[in-house]
Amino acid sequence: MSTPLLEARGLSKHYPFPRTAGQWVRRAAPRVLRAVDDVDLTVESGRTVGVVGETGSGKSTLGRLLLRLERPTAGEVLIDGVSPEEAAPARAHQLRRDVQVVLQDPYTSLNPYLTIGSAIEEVLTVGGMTSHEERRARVAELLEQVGFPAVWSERKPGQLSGGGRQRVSIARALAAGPRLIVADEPVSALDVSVQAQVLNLFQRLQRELDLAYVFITHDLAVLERIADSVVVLYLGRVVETGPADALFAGPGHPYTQALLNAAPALGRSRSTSSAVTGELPDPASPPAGCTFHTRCPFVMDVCRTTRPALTPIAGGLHAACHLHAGSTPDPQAASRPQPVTPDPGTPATP
Amino acid sequence: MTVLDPAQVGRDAAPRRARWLAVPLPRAARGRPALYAGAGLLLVISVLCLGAPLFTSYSPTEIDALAVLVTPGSGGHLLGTDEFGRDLWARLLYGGRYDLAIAFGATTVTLVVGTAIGMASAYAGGWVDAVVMRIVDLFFAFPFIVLVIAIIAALGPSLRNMFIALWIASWVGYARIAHGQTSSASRYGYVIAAGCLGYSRRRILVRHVLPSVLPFVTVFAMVDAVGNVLLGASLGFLGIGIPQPTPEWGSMISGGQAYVLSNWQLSLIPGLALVLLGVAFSLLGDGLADLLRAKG
Repeated sequence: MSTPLLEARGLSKHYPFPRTAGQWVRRAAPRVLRAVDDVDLTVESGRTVGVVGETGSGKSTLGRLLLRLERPTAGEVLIDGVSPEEAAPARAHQLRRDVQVVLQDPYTSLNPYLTIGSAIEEVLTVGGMTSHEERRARVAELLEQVGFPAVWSERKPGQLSGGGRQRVSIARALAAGPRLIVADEPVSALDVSVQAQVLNLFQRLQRELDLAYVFITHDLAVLERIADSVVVLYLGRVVETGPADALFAGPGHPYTQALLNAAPALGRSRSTSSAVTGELPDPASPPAGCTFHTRCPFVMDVCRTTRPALTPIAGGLHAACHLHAGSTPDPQAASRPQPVTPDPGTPATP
Repeated sequence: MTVLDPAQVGRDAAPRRARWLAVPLPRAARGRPALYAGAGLLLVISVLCLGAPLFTSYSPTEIDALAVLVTPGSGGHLLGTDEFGRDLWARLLYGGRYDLAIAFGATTVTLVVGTAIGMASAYAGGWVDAVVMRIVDLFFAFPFIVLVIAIIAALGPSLRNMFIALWIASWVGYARIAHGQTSSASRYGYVIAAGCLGYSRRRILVRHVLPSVLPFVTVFAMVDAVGNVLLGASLGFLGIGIPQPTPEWGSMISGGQAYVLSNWQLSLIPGLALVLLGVAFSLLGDGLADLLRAKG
């Protein structure tokens, strides 16, 4: 198998809390918030990986780790099988520019003091393009690529709509000539109609430029449309991962099932049978065993004590759930326990 | 596909201003009366003070025992004379040079140094930032004027030492403002993106962070300039400012207070000059704040 474009191995980010006086006296380790815990992720060139999870699931932290905006507590992020930290400076610079970012908030994603032309041009200058004419031509080309006339390069971000700004953010990212764009909720701040336009743009650019995406979102409808594979995060851990088609057709993990049920979609009967009840537990003190057991409609005794490992299930998916323990990827996916209406109060057992 | 509504694209129309105000001002001044009023006032004060020999034939320090406490307008003295027979108009003009020097000299240095330290500290983060900001806190814990007086007392009163005292005592205000703005700016998407795009730290700080710090420190600098002038005058009033017989507005107010019942103009006129200078800086600060704020 060829080396993937980007590979995260055993990636963890733990934020320690300040030690309490008692912990300090006892020289005990401080409590940590496991924002991202032992996550593996592979992005192949030209493919889209969707990362989905609730607020607090660690999906944005994962994005920041992939972008090297944060130093991981454990694990590593490799680009072309190489860690930029260990590469020669010039190669490291190039590897970093291979991975670019598009962020959620269109109102802070562009420098309000620079015209959009000069913001894009700056990327080219730093990239070593010395000829002013060449840069100008490239800026016009990039603006056209995201659907703007070249004359708009003189505009300030304040003169653009939210969707327009996201287009400029994309053009700016493209100016670095990336092979991967990490997009953290790039469309969630936009109107639904504009969302569709920006998603179309992402898809068109992927076809034209063979870009890979890591698409971080809480919106499954967005992922269903754009993702080739999906990673579902819950409290910083991967609970299910695999090809998008299989995941949307037959999710293996009760959490994914609940997320899909909660997401409105055409042509899918909406059932509330496995709706997740309750709030996301405090990420700083996650439940023992399977972190999802407090909200799981199929909770068993083993879930409260033992954390399930990611195991292969049907359809090329991997799920971290005891329901699939010992099961091999067999076509008998239908024999999975059917969702049972949870009795509010006492957790149901299948 | 509609990307933008053309109606949203146009610049926001400037708020309507009174027409009579817009007419006599230069074209650029329209819509920014505060900026131009402040700058104009400061320019007038500066020209009068720096060009003092053009506006008076008297020396500010020459004692004339025959013309003591002359009332304004009489004996060829426009604003009269003080208790030593020194011409008040001349002292006002020459004395203003020191006040302007304090306003600009003390403020520009602390503006540049304090902002640079605050930004660098915030961007560096970690223990460097913690140490620098605790030092800033330490300075804030001292009453400002006491700190300045203590430094001057240690070094001896002179214009140079007054500058040194002001520099040491007042960079912290800029550092704290720049620190706060830099901290919030480093969470802006465009600063995060700049990091991903491989920009150098210097480029990120100067081109992407500084523009959002600048309006805040500039406006603070204008307030601080007024504060520095008043502090310089206070020190002059307390007798530890610029030593006599050098004219300085604060020491002139102080010198006139013995005659405040009979010749109140001796204190009032330099006081009014201080007020005018303060108003000039305040207007300038307001105007600059408008000018530097991005039309986002």
